[in-house]
Amino acid sequence: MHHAIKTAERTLEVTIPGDVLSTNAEQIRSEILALFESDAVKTASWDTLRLDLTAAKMVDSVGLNLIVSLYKEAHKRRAKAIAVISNPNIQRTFLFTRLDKHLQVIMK
Amino acid sequence: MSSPWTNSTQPVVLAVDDESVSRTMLEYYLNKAGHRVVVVDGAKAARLYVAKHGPAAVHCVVTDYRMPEETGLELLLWLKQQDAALSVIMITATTERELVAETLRGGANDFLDKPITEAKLLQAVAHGIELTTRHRQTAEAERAVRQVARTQHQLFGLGAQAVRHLELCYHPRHQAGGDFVNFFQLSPDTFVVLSADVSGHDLHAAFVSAYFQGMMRGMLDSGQAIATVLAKFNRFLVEEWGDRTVETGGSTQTSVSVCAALVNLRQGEATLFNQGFPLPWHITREGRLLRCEMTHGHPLGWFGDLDLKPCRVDCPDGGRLCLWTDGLEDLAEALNLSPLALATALHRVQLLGEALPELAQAKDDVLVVFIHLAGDAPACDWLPILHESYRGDQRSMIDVLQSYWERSLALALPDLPESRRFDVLLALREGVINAMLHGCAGRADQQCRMMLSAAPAQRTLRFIVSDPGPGHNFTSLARESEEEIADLHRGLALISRLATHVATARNGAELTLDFRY
Repeated sequence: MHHAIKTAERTLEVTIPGDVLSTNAEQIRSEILALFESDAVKTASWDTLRLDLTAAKMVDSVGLNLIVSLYKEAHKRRAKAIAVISNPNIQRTFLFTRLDKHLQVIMK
Repeated sequence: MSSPWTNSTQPVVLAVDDESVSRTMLEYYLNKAGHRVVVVDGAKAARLYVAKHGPAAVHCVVTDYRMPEETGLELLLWLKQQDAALSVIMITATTERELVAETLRGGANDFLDKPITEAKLLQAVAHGIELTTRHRQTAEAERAVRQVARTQHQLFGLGAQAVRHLELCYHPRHQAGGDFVNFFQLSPDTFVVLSADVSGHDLHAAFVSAYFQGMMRGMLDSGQAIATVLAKFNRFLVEEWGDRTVETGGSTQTSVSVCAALVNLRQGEATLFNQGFPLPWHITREGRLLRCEMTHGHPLGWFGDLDLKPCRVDCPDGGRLCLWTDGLEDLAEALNLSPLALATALHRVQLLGEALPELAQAKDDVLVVFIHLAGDAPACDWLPILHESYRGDQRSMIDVLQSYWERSLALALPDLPESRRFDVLLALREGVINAMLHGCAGRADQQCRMMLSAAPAQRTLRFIVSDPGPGHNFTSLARESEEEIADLHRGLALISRLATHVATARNGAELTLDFRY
């Protein structure tokens, strides 16, 4: 998993390298939470969490739960969350579960 | 040209050389060894002889390579076109050695260096005659097998009555023998479908198959019960056939795996007799896939006692039976996909008159039989794709399972739009995880079951998942998840949105999802 702090945009960008599924969601969650606690991220000034999911072809319900939990973590830090996706099927699952009401979803 | 021997039964050697000394020497050596010899002075004369008497009149050709009009290699290529089994021995000079490789590629059976010795010539000719004889016998046997295969395929041409009730997908791996299916109408409302797999893939197997079908027809026509026919044929195989084949040097063991289905349309039931056949499936008019769980006995021909335990399938509303030989299961295993999906794929290509490339990997005959169980009612449209059971503790394997479902679905329904395939796979994943996690409480001693079937005419897929749990209020939980940003039940919300129609039974412990596409 790759991350970047874009100071000018006050954005923490986290790139997830593939699908987000029940079988890997927990690992992704722990990696991102560890990232939040890292000095580089703690000391950086960011108010947007940008999740790059463009490599994902499927996000299942556990993966959606992870995204919800990351949205909540961002909210706790007074940041907003954005999900960037490229797969129209994933876009539909976001719409079906109304996640688009809570976080901004950008189709790339 | 000399010594026309065409009326004799002794093998004929055709010696071709433009040099008279060589011809004389060849004729002398070969005659001396008792061979019948036809000697000609070049390729043209050799062609004339073969064209006049036919290639079968010659058993070995000995030809010089270097001749003025036409080389021995050109003659060889022409001879092989006339009769690929005919042995040709090429005589070459030492300096022509490099040509030998090319000559051998052209199909020569042997070559001799000049000057040839009597011993080497006779040894090569004896070997050449033997090869020609063997190859011709093989070719003749293959012709006979093809003839038997044609006859078998004619037998497979079922009559109009059978066509109303049967759909067959038959892909023989071998020319003759192996699998067969036959249809016997007993009355307007009852019929028997006999599907069988005879061990072996040769003429022996083809003969046993024909004998069995004839016996079945004769005994059923005279009012005998299926059980009686099976028992009698089993006794024949065990007590008579085995002894006879040993005496004639044949196989010591012939077995026949058989599934006989007696269908009574008026009573809406089928009775299945299964001896060594893969378990049949009942596909209901609602798209449910029910394996005909039955005690299947050993194949006919193994043991003298035959413990027949027929299984009754109630089918008042019709539906269809689907059964196949083990060749289909072996192929499905090799391809790592569901045999049900493979059966449906074969059904599809059969209807469309297309080929299924995956069949190239089949190691055995593949026979799939669909038996319609409806009389006047419309035929059942549902075709099977998946039927699996999983333990509650198998959640960690879900990616592997999904990959298996995906391959199976792609083979069975290649025209399913990509977005709909995504929806179905995600719903299967969510439904099965939910059943493992909640219905089975993640326990290894609890099992959930899932099935997927397709009605191509209605462009509908049906997914049914059930678990042994107490169930839950599917609708309210799914709505709750949509309205709240909670982590729970999001899978249910997804499922309810992905499917065209959702139905629950047993308080939500069984879920039926329809997907229009």
